[in-house]
Amino acid sequence: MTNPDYRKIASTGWISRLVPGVRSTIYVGDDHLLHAKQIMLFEKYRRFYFSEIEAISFSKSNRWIWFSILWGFLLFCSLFWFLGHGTWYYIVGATFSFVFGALLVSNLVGGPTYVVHLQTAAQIRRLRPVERENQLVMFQQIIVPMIMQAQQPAVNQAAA
Amino acid sequence: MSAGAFCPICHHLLATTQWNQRDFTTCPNCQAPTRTLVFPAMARPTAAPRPQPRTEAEAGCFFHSHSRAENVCNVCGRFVCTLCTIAYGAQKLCPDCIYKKRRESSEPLFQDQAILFDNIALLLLIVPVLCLVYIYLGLLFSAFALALVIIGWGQQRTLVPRSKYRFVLAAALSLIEGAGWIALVWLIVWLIQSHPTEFGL
Repeated sequence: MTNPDYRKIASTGWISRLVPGVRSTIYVGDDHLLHAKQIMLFEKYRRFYFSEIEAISFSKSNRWIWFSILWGFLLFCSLFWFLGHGTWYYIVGATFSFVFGALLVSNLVGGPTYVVHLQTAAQIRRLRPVERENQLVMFQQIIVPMIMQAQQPAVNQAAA
Repeated sequence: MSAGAFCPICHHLLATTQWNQRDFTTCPNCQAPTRTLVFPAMARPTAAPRPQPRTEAEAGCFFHSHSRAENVCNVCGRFVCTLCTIAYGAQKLCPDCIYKKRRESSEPLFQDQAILFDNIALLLLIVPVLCLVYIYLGLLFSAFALALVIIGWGQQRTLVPRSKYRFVLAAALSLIEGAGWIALVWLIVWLIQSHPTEFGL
């Protein structure tokens, strides 16, 4: 029963696959947005019809700074393994340094974070897949014209 | 009309002067830099109009016989009043049909969740190994996981495309774990038979 009309536009990062209930993806359908949230054994779907979306609000968040500090600190701690004398110390140190270094770099490359909410008359939902700056910009470029097009009659009615 | 737009951080109501600004404005409550894109739907009335009482010449609502029918349910064809008319995408439905359709999950439009058989099968294979239940019930869990793979392959009805690689992985793991469990039991039996005195037999 897979619907082939859905097009994936954003998804949470690969780290979210390890945490139950955090992984979510946004798809675009003909007349609505589909938010699929995976909670371990289930996948829950929420639809936001373009004609019913009232607002998209986003606030800057410091999450990426805190995560950069955390990964940087753990990378610094991993370097202590190299103080040991032995091949195994170097192997473990290199492994930890690579992991935390990669996390730090991916966090910095991802850019600033936001908290994004999508509002309709019936619900306000947080959209985690578009909380990075580049994702948010792309999301707006895709979604806003579709919403405006779907709500064009409402604009005309208001003008009349 | 809705109350307005809210700050995503503190959920405080934002002033209308903060709507559709080019730059970020600060939330009056939490001071977080916030930007809000408000669409024309915000100005639309959200509450359904109050149902009108019906006269003898008019059809009544199926659920509220005293109210005048304003619409026809697109699924069951019942006459419904403004209170009982629920717009679901392009369709107008009665609450009964929405409930039934959601329970049936037969149409993608009404599906609100899907069971992930592949994840359940993988969980059944991984958890016993981690918590040492594998020694006692390994074969049972492997067989159960394999059955879930066979059932779920055709029954898993996700709304969005999902790869089958988890099913293949679960099937391979269940066969390996089952074979491993049989080998382990055979080894224990062989050890007991070959060295009965060391096991107090």
